[in-house]
Amino acid sequence: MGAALLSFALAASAADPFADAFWHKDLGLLVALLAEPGDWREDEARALFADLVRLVNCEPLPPIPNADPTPLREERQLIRLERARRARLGAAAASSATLWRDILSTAFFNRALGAGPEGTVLFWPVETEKWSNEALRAKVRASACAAVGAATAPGQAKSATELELASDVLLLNLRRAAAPDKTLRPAAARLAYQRAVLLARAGQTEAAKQAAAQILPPELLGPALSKYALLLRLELGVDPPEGYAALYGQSFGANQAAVDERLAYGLHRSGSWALLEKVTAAPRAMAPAALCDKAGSPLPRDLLYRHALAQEKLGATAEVDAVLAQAFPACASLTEPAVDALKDLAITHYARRTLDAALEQRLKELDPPGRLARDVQKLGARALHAGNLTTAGMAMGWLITDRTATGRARGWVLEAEIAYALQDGKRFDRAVQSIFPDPAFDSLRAHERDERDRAVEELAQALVTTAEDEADADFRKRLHAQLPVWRERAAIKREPSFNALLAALESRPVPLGGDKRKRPTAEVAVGSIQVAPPEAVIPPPEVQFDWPEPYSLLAVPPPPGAPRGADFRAWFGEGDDAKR
Amino acid sequence: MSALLLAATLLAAAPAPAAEPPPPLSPGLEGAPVRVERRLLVKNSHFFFTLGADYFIRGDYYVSPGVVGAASFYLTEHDGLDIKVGAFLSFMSPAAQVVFQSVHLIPDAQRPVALLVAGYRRSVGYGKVMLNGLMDSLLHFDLQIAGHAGIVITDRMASPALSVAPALLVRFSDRWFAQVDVELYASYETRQSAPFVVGILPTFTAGVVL
Repeated sequence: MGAALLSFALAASAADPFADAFWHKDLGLLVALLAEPGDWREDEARALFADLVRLVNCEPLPPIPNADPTPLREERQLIRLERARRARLGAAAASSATLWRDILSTAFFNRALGAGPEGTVLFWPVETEKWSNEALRAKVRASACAAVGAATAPGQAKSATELELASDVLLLNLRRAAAPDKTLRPAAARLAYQRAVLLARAGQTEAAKQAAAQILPPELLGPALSKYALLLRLELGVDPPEGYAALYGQSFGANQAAVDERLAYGLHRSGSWALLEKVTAAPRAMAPAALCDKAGSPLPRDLLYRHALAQEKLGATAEVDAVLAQAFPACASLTEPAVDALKDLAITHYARRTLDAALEQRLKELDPPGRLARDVQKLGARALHAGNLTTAGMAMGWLITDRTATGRARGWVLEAEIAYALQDGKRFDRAVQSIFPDPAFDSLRAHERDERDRAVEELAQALVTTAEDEADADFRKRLHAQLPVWRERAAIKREPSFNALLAALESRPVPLGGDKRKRPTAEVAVGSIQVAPPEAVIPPPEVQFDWPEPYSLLAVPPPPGAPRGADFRAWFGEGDDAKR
Repeated sequence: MSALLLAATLLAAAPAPAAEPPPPLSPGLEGAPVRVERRLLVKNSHFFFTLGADYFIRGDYYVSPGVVGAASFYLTEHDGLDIKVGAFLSFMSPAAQVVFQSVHLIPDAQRPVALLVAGYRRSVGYGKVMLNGLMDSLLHFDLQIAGHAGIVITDRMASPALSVAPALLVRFSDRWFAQVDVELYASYETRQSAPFVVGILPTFTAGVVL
């Protein structure tokens, strides 16, 4: 309480002349006031404003004695913290969104001894007699700010780092002072935020979390910074993820894509398609070349995928087509989860249509050359599962007349799947026979056989997993007869997979091949599994936030005309975070 | 006595006082604080026109009151040029009149009639004065030295003349001011005695600044 009362008293009286000069940016007057002898009651304010002059003029800051801590000790330490920030920013300080941009501008403070044309200003010695129209002023020493890292005086030990100065002790003391004196609470919140950001950048997540937990409430940081404080608390796990929704509609500048990504992931998980569609709309404005630039961030592509998914869920077919036309063929050669998922979504989307020349062209644009047959097979399978037998049949017809052997093999695999879905045994047998012709006439090369074997294995998995529910007894018997044949004809490396599928079909434990340490497992087909589009929510790509810093970390007594109980201020007008 | 000895012993044994650390420099200060004031009596690039009275004292048996007008232009706050024109209402002094009436001798000195000089002014100081602490009585003034050259026209000739003077320019308001000069004149006149004539010419004028 003593600290609070004294700081109020300082703000109300002893600090007034200094604060008045400071808030009028009148360095010439402030320096003169500090040079004049004063009352002992001014000592605390005098020390604080002397430090401020040293800060803005980049003069060495003397150490604060450890003994006999004074009420303004924390405020003076904040000045040293600000100096350390300048050392870190280096040459970039002049253009940074910090008070250093102002300090390093020579015109920001009035340093003139007197204003007026040459010869029109009169200088009188400082005497006890005070005449009207005479103003106390001093010639201000030239700023030493041009030298980067001017924080250390000659012969002085290396300055403490920013993180050392923004210590938990300082934060604790400032919060303790702010407990009874609410005028210091914004300064305490700024320090907590800055400490959390510094620790997060240093990878000290747990300590950063503790600091972020002390940004109470974030609104004290002002509108521009409080939303970042909320985001920081969410990222560090101080607040639960549901809090991300509160960030919707707020502008985050260069960090917007990263914030949108966080929002989109949460909305995707919760199936909030309408809001997801809005949050992810930004990449729709990007040119395809910029969107699919390999050197660029994957965030826009991830957002675009989730946007397309939201549109698909909302039934906006035309918009999905537009998104796909934006992304492909520009993104065809990219291999990353979001692009793969978008391709998958495209095939599911197209599977509801008739396979014509236009759709074939769209399929060609999805992937680099050489993958069209695989995509047509996928399209056919998805069409089959969607009940679009026409397109499934057309896809099969397209494949079996393909000029590549693997394409034709895929066509027969698809035909077998169609026959299975129709429970047409003869058709199924004919398809299987075409997949594996007489070995004497099997002209496939090694890599083509591998492709075919993989397609057959995928078919076997699909059939076995659905056999229990969809196949009649006759068909299960037919499948039971075919699986050993497929195992024999496929490459030996696929034998374990076929054994497992055969065991699952027979509902018996899988043979373990002599390893008695493993427990026997039973592979059982338990029912229908959605094999068409995977509904798993792909995790978001890594995002990097460029955490903005408080414009000022200072706590300066308000000017004399401020209302009673006004907060200690951070900086002038626009630089005060509370007003931004 | 023993007490004095003890004190002397203690003083001798005491270590030399540690050197005082230098007082910390006042932050940001270069030199010493000053009081700063905008100059009220502004002269730079201004014309000053004055009109007033003077009194030429030469010790020449003539009483020479006069009227004088001057125009000055200041090139800077410190440097100005000016022209003066004056007319004297000279008449013989009562003592000379008595001599003339008794012995019918007239002075060898010439009677000044007019004055025409041009010169230079240099401001050497600025001051202000306030009477009894009354703000309304506050006057700002400029202390100057002036030098002029020209002619003094007498009843017999136009004689070349030089002068130097301390001067005071006093500001009454933004528009009105007064000028006080006390000039020491030297002129050359053809006369039977010494040709150089020295005199003092106090002038008091008032005028406007444009």
